[in-house]
Amino acid sequence: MSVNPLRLEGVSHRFGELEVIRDLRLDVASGEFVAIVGPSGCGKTTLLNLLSGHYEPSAGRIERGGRMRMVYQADGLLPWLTVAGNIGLGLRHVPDPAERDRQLQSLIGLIGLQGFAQHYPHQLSGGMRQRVELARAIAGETDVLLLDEPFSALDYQTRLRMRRELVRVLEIRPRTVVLVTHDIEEAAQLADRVVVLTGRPSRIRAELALDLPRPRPLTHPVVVDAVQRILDELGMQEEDAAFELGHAQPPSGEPASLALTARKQQ
Amino acid sequence: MVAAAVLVWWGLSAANLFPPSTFPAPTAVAGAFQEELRKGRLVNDMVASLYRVTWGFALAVLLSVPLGLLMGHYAAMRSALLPVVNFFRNLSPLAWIPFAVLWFKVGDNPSIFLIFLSSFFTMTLAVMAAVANIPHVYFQVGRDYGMSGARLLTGITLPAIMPQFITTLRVTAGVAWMVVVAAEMLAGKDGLGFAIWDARNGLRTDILVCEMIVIGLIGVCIDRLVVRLTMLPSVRWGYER
Repeated sequence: MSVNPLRLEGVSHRFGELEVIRDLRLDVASGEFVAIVGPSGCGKTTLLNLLSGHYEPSAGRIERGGRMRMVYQADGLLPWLTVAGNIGLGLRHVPDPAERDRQLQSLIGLIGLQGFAQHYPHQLSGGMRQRVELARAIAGETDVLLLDEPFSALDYQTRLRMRRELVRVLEIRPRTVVLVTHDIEEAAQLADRVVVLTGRPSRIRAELALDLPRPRPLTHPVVVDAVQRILDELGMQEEDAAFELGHAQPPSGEPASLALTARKQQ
Repeated sequence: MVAAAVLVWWGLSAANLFPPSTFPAPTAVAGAFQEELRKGRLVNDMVASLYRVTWGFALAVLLSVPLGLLMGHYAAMRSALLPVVNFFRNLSPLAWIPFAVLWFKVGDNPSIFLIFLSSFFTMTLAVMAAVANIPHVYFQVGRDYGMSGARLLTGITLPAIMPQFITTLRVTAGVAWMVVVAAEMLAGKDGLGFAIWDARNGLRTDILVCEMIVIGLIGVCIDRLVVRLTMLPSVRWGYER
């Protein structure tokens, strides 16, 4: 078992002719919070499946040191199980029923869902459901949390609240975290290190270290600066600048007027 | 509503639009009901029909669930068997009546066989479709939390298809109850279907109506019973989303 809970060495992956990931190297230290961002379609989901072990890489090596749990985008809760039943899945390895129940109650308390233990997922709001997923994933002896755009299905304000919630939960139950997201703000607000991927085939384009304690206000200069730098790395700033100079080259297939409104909203 | 229906019925029969032998009055039917109860025939027929439906239906569930699971999980099984299952599903079970009698003579077995046929193919298809539509993420979650093999089946597949399966039970139970009446008319010596046939042969329209009412009421009771399954807390998600 390696010192690092997660290490990727020269990992490549292809689906037939399509090369999705090329020669990726990544070390995640114990207790580190790493966010992975990249242009859409760049292979983030593939990378996630490689990390979780659902796929085997076409080339290279992945070392995992410890128990790894995934938090899914939405609907990762089993709808026929109650909140207690779903979180209980994460505690299946605890042999003593009394101890299991004690841990269950403590987890439900941790995410502030006291009184909802016997509720079913469809009776909860989107934010509550993701909190239950989080509790299930950190239950027991999880070492690494794999977050697959965990808050992308939520509305903006709930998303902001959930970031705070995640920080609070991690303070009480520290874990190594890999967050795969398209939400650059989210990455800048949460991660110790942001890994920016290139387009397909994905390689690491840049890595940004953020040395600022959490929770971080969204408008903190360091966060704002990080957002800008990530946008730079993704090439978004150049596109914006070009647009303002009147040399806009909207991405192919996208009508110019649509590109305009999209940019104005940013 | 029931009172109004009886009132209209009574009014029509009192108006003597049809001869009483073809349009029995409510009082005549009530008399027939008492007579059938006293002779013990009505209860006997009810038990016989329910017995056959229960067996035919239970066999259909028992065999269609495994087959549906296999066809839902394995694309090769699906493409091999789907045309066959579809063919038989669209073939009325009543077309089998001659063979049912040839193979199983008279008594319970031909009816059980026909009820089985009426439910088996529909159920198989429904289980197959339900399994094929289970979101992939549920299996992934199951594996994340250490399930494999039989645990995935009982922990993920079965609970995931339960709401759709109960809906199918409800539909097929209704069909099975209709088929038992037809089956007993031609392949029975007793049962509610046979009683209808017998009443028709004896031109006892009062008994005929009495049996019709009993059959309808039992059908409603069966449906109410199956609907209760949808009240289980662990399947509510399938109906409330």
